[in-house]
Amino acid sequence: MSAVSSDNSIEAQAAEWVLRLSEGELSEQERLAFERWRQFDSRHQATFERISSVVAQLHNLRSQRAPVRAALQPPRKRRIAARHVLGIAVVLASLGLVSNLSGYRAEDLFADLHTAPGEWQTRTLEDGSRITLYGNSAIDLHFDAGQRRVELRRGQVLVDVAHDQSRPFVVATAAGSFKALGTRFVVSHGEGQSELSMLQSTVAAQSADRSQSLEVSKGGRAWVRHDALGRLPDIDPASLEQAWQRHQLVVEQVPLAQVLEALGRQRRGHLQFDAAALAGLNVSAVLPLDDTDRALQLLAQALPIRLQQYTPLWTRIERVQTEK
Amino acid sequence: MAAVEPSFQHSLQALYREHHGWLFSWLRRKLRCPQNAADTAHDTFLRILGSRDSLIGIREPRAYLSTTARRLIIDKARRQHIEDAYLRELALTVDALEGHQSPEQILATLEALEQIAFVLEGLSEKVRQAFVAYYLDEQTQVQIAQRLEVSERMVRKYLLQALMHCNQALDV
Repeated sequence: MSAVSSDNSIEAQAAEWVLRLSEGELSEQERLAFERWRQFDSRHQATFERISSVVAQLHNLRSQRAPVRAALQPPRKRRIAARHVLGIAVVLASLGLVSNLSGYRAEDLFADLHTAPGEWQTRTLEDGSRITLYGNSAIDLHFDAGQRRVELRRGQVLVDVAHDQSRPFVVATAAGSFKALGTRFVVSHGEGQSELSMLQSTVAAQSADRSQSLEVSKGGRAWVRHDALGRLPDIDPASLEQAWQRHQLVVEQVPLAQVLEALGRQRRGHLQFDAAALAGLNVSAVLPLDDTDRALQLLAQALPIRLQQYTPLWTRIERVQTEK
Repeated sequence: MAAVEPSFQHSLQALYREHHGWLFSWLRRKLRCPQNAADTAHDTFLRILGSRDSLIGIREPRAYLSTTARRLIIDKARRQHIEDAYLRELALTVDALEGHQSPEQILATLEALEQIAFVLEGLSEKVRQAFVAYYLDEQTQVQIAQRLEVSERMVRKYLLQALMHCNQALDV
């Protein structure tokens, strides 16, 4: 009996660690606790790996999300649900009500575009505008007779707006909105802040509470939060274009921790590092975002850091002490 | 009906004697239903009896039993559904995927799907949805809470439940 209960608790602990690792960076204290737990008993590591293997299997199928989701849906319920939702959408559309129900789930069901980490996607929208999703990004589209609205839930998009005077083109995030008329630009969003980089012509940026707005032209950049915004140093539009085309991260004298964060968003699984320990290490590099293993190796060759891979889901980066 | 030859019967009996208890408790943990577990354990041995596979030289009897039980649980109709649903949606989204899937890749994916479906078997609908939304669709726990109309704490509980279930399904 006691063996059973201790097995159960290993299972619960392992599940907690797997979940914790997928929720984000561990604190130094947590990292040490995890390390201790893992090494305490061989069953700990074995259980952790067993659970991770299922998560990894699901992770690896992310590039084929829609078919995988359909296959995993239990047979009966799925058919009923799909018909039901479709029915509602058709009725609403015929009544011209769909656009009034913003946030309604049926809309999400049809409009969502997602990309997996390290996976880029370009789409031509119904108005002829082109939109490229960076890896690990998600958008909703809201197009109707009066508006063309792209909601960026997370990640980055490069938009090439087709001209349409009657319908403004807006990229909206939780932090604010970016309104364009015939223009090409990049919007990124994460952690409460959005950033705009202009490749061509002009965009009007506005904070979500509408208290602040700003016009940004070619080469200009701006940050936007819920109730504030401001300018950032200019960029070179040509090199930004190139980085998007080649799926590269171009950085110049950027703290390593920031670069690792950007790479981590393009990886399946968890990239762990202690930002404080890496302080003072800056990077100037062009790194492949669709092959982050290689990007990490390039960094490890150039900097005093070491890569450790525990499971396919978990890579840790440590600073190597150099003699002074 | 041909008589079962003694050696097969012997090894089947030995397999039953030594591992039926284990199979039953494994299935009970997996299916969370003693009745269903007892039936499935019984059917597993029936299927082995019916298949007349050679039982001599099976090195991992428990892995053999759990694989057979797994096939029973994810029955033929279900496997067919997985394959159909996957291939149908794949045809719809093929433009969006970079390059196309080779037959080998498709087979490997189907195999992975079958295994994941087995692991998810027995989870309640909301727990299953939360797990797939989090690890496949990469929705946040906040988004999942809104969609399932439960608290964020509940979503976290669902995810832990699903992860523990993964362990039970694979712990042979």
